[in-house]
Amino acid sequence: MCLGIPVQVLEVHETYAICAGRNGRENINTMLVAEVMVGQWLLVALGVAREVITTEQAGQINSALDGLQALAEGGAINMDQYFVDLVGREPQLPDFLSKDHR
Amino acid sequence: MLDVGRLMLCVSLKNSKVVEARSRSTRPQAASVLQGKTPAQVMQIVPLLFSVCGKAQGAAAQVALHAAEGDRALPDERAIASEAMQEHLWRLMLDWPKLLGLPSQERQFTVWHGLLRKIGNGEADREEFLREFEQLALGMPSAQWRVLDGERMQSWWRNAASPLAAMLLQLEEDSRGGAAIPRLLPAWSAVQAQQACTGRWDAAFAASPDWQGAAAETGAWTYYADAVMLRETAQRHGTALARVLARLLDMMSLADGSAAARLDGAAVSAGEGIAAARTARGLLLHHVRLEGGKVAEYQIVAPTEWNFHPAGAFVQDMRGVTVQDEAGLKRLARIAALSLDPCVAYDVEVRTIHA
Repeated sequence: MCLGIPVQVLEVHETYAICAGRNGRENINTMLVAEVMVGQWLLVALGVAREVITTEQAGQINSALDGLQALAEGGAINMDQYFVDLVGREPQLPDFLSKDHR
Repeated sequence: MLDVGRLMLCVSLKNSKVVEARSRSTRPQAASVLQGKTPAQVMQIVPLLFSVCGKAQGAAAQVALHAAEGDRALPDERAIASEAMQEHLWRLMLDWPKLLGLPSQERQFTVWHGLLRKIGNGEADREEFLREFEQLALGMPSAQWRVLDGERMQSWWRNAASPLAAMLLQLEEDSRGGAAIPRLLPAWSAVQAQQACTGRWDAAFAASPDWQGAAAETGAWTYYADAVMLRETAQRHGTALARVLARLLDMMSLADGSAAARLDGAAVSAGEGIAAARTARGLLLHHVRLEGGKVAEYQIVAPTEWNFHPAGAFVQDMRGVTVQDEAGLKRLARIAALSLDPCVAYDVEVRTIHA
């Protein structure tokens, strides 16, 4: 049950895209997803984009991953603050993607 | 930074013999994030969170949750069957050629992966994939290929003009000879899983599962444990080749519609349910207990935890192997690891203990 990580596309190349996600900037293999566009969110496992996801889905996954990360780092926490009840919440963009830096 | 987990596989060589093999995992117990959630939330997040086999994970969650609520209906298997075929193709056409130093088949893989996606969505028929695969990879009808015995299978991969056959031939050349049949985990139904695991559902079991007190191997092989070709191939050429052949057998059985059902569910008691799913990597179990409409307990027992158990199939494969040098051992360890197909990234470390 390998975890999928959402990343946002910064630059599109022929077989890969430069993307930004919670673990920083990385090159992601995009041969399995048709028509990748800048700004899109991709679900990535083991360096390969599995599918294109919506901004809402990216937010849900990141929120669940935040919960997991908090568990790993700190032990007992209230899981209700993480997770799905945030449809509509925009995922936080990395600094270099926010307006001031574009 | 979030650590999605890694396997560390370490093998020690002394006087040209493997004297120690270890398997260690840093995988987080991700099912713990499901605690306190409603069934609807679980079904929404599971396929996204566990995306390598997201369809199977999602279907297993749905079956376990419905069983807990007293609903025995099973979802359509088309999507999870396609996903399993995609995973099999990925190993057979990308990962194995790369590891063995054979030409890449990325182009053909991408075409078939896309076709399987359409088949999973109901936009194409699996007959289309079956016909192309028979023609380009098998050179014969799947129904005939599936019943070859060990000797005929060997002559198939030695003679067929396809990259797939060439890959199996290379594995034969890398083989260290025959091996005993490993202890295979039965491909349990949900009821059988509950009987075998009752009283064991907790995080420790999910991290390091055993069957009747000992490690067991899961994978496509266990779905065809009676197949003569797999038994004879293991006895002639070892476990790695048998596992790879089992994946191909599973893919062909899914493609030609002869495979057994992939999903099963059972209610344990009111509010408690189990799902057993046959994924590409092996048996996937979900166990859930609901309280007041929310998840009180959720465990996922995944194939990687069976096969890379500290005393599991990888460690057993490596134990007692004789090999010339570290480079030879590294290749052998990588072949063993890939044949067991971990769903997380892994490192293989080889070292020599000097007498």
